[in-house]
Parts: sequence; structure tokens; C-alpha cells
Amino acid sequence: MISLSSIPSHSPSVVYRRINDEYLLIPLTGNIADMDSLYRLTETGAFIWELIDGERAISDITSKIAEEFDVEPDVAEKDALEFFREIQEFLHFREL
Amino acid sequence: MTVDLVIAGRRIRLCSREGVSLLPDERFMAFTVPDSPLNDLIMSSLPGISPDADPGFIDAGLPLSPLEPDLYVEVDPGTGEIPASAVKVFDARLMEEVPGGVINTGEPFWEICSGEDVTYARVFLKEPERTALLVMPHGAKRWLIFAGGDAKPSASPERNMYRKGCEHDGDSTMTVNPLPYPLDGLLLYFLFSQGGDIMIHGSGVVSGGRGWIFTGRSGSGKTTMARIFDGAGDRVIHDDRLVLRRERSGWIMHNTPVYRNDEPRSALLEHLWIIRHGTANVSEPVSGAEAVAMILANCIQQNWNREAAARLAAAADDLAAAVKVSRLSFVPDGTIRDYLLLRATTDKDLAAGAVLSMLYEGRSVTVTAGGYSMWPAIRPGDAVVIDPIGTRLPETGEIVALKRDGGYVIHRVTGVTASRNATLIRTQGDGVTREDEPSDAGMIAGVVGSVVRSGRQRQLCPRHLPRWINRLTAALAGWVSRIMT
Repeated sequence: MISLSSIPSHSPSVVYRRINDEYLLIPLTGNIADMDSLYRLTETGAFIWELIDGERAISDITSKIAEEFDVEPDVAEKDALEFFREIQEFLHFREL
Repeated sequence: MTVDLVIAGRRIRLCSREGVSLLPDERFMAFTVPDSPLNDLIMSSLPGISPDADPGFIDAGLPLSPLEPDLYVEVDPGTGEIPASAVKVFDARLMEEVPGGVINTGEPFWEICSGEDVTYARVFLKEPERTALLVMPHGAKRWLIFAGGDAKPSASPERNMYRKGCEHDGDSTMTVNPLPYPLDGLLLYFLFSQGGDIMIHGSGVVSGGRGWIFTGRSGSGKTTMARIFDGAGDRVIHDDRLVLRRERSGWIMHNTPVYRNDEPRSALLEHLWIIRHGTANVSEPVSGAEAVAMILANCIQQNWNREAAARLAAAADDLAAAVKVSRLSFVPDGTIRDYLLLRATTDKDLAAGAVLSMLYEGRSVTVTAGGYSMWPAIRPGDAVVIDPIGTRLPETGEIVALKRDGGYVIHRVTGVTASRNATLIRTQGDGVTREDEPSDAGMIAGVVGSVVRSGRQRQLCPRHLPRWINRLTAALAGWVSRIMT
């Protein structure tokens, strides 16, 4: 279960590449001829992706999102959790 | 014995021990080159590519071949073994085409195993049933092929057009096919992949001096495109699979030996089209991560290898930045070639002339709207499908393409006045205040039937809003557009 205390890190089975302000996530499993398996992170997603370092908890990342994008902390928390759930196949999570 | 192949500009030297003749399939014939440096020097002095040659017509082949092989492959007639410690990382089953699609037969076709610093590719062959093995030590320029024990005595050595430097007589010489299908494709994939090249499913053509690739999912129309351009007398680089290599002049597309009569062909790539069948010819540029994703989805790849996947993503990124990439819906007939040639021309008068002549030939044309004069029925960026009008007269309310000043405008018919001497057509843009000068019926080049906006085709309704509302919204839209840009 992903929660604010979860600490995400990039999965070793994903290759990612920054292209302008976006990131392209390429899974190292499955069939990438299926476009649906590739994932594009737009500018906000790219900002979060770069904060994922295996040390910060989602709550730390959420604070930075609220600060950077000038949004209310509860909105940032909700959006961040939704984001992490959506891209969880590209991440590993651990709890403190 | 040695056999040198140059494929997509990379030289592969196949070697065998004395007494073993190498006889690749016939499809490799035109890709086989002399291995002597002296021969290469002589060939290099022949007229090859002149500096002012049309960049769309770069032919690969002998004059371009590097002297030093990119890869040496030792071919052993025997059967190789994969060490038990190697791990199978990819398993491909034999797919069979059946009416309406492709089915997985479940039979083994080829597999990739990863050992310590070595990658193995094993293929399962028939007639006779056997396996062949490609051994690729990491970082080495010398690979090994075990051809699978299908060596045959060479009954008549003179038949062997590849035979070279072999002093044995026919009775003591064995003949081996060094690159049985699908081992050849795997060898090329690993060679090109480690060199940072791209292998892509697609058809490549050169038309009007421009190199284009049409790629897309299975059934999207790649072969159809090649057939259309081939039928029009254009040069087809290949209709199935291409190798893309970054060279000084840009990204070059090359064919590989697939069919019996293939010969080396290459061209500079200008535009890569991600195609699908549609009801109109419409293109939309894509860039950045979206373009890279679309390229990757159509590349030949084995994404179990992290390093290879990262290298391919980097190459696709470079490709997307260097050439134009667009989505393209197309109608599978000659109009798509006209559409692409038309939009490639930068000369507006020429383009307008081409539109008019196509309409007079009775063909529909798709053009991109550029202004606000027909707002909101037609908006800037809409793909406007103009159909030929033939001999009939337009009706009031219809939108027509009207010849004017060597080009054409697209306006709505506000009235048709027939007299004994002439028929005059009155027209006006929905979003402009003034009516056009009345036109003779002969000035009407075509009728607009539909527009494509955001990928959706919309039929145009002859009815329209009161003109003053159109004028106001057109003015506002134009103003907002100027602010935004």
C-alpha cells in the first residue's frame, strides 16, 4: 500500500530518458511494441521523477511539489499519491 | 575461406577453416564484396557518390564499404553448446501467418541466453532439423557461428560463387550455409544495436528527392505505401525492415538482405511517418518524448538488455531531433503520394497550382487551412478535404475552392445567378465583411466536403450562423491567436 511514508526508488527494470522537459519511461520487461507500455512524464511528472532518490519519503516529495507549484499541501498530497499509484510499476517502495 | 558482406555500410567478414566452403543464401549475393584491400582501392576510385549528388539518392555498396571489417565471424560447421550457467533471457516462438492474422505455433524459433560476458543466440532450423548457434563475447569484434552440422560435401566447387582461396578439391570440401534464417537477422540486430544504429519495421522510399519512412503497427499500411510509391516509379529502399544509421550528412536508411533479389540501397532520411489507414490524407507533426515513443514502439528490439535499451532510446531521441516525425492518416491510393509531395513543396504558387491540377484531374485534395476567413466552419490548422466539382454548378451555402491570383481561396457560395450568357457565382468568407467579386462558374475548382480537426472528420453543414456573429468570433479568435503566439 503506497502511503505518504513510503520511500520510492526507481525500479532497476526501467530505462528512463529525459527529452526536453519530459521523461520517457521504458520498461525492460514485456513488449514495448505496444505503445501503452511506454510512459511519458510531462513537466510536473518529470519534476517528481527527479526527486525520487530512494531516500525521500512521498511526504518530503509532496512538500517540494507544494512549494514549487504553489498549491495547497492537501492538494499536492492527493495528486502525488495518485501519481505514484499510476507509475508504481516503474518504482520500488520501502517503508521506514 | 572468407566471405565479406557489406550490409548497411558495415563490413562483416565470415571466415572458415581450410576445407570448409561458405555458401550464404542467394539473397546475400549483391551484398558480397571483395575482401582484398587492393580491390577496394580500385573500387573506391570508381565514380561513387559525387559531392553534389542528390542527397536522396545515396547508394550504398562497394565504393562506400570500409576496408577494415566491423565484425569477424568464425563459422564452424559443427554444433555448439550453450554453457549450463547461461540464463535464457528471451524465447521467441514460431509465428505463422493464417488468414486474418498471425498465430503462435508454440514451436521454438530462436532464443537468447546470457552468460558471463557472452550472449548466445540459438535458432531452431528445419530440413534437416537442427540448431545453429551465434556466440557473441561482449566487447569483442570476433564472434562465432556454429552452423548446426548441416555441412554438405561440395560436389561441384565451381557452383560456389563465394569460394575463394580454397585449394581442396570437391570431394574433400564441405559447404556450409553460415547465415541460415533467422540467424542472419539476429546477427545483424546485435551488430547494429551495439553500434548505436536503429532497426525499424517500415517501408522506405525516395520521392521527389526526399527520403521517407512509413512505419506503424502490423496492418497499418507499410507495404501498401511501398506499392503506391513503387507504382509511381519512385525508388523503394525496402518494404519491410530498415536499418537507420547516423552519419555525417544525417540519418541514412539502408536495406538489408531479406528477399532473393535485394541489392544494397540507401537514402538520406528526411521525414518519418507513423501511419494508419484513414478516410482522408491528414498529417500532424509530433516531437519530443511523444515522437521518441512512437519511434521506439516500431523498432526491432529486445528490451531485456538495459544497456541496449538505453542506447536505442538515445538513438531514437537523436533521430527525432534530426528528422521530421509526423502522424499520418492516409487513403490507400495515389492521392497519398500527391498529398505528401504537395506538402513537401515550399513554393506556395507551385503548391496551389498542384492542388488545382489535381482537382481538374478529378482527384480529391487535402490542404491545411491557414486563416480565419471561414471561421468557425474552417479553422486554422484544419485539414480541408476538397472534392472535384466536375461539371455541376455549386449550390448556395456550399463551401468552394475558388481560383484566384494564381492560387485559390476557400469561401462559401452566397448565390448563383444564371443568365443566357454566363453563370455568376457569388461568394464570401463566413468571417469577413465583404462579398467577393462574382466569379464565372469556371473559376470554381472544387467543393469542400469535410474538414479533419483533432483527428476527427467533420462534415460541413451548408447552414451557418448569422454573418455578424461569425465576423465577431473570427476577429476575436484571430486576436487571441496573435496574443498566444
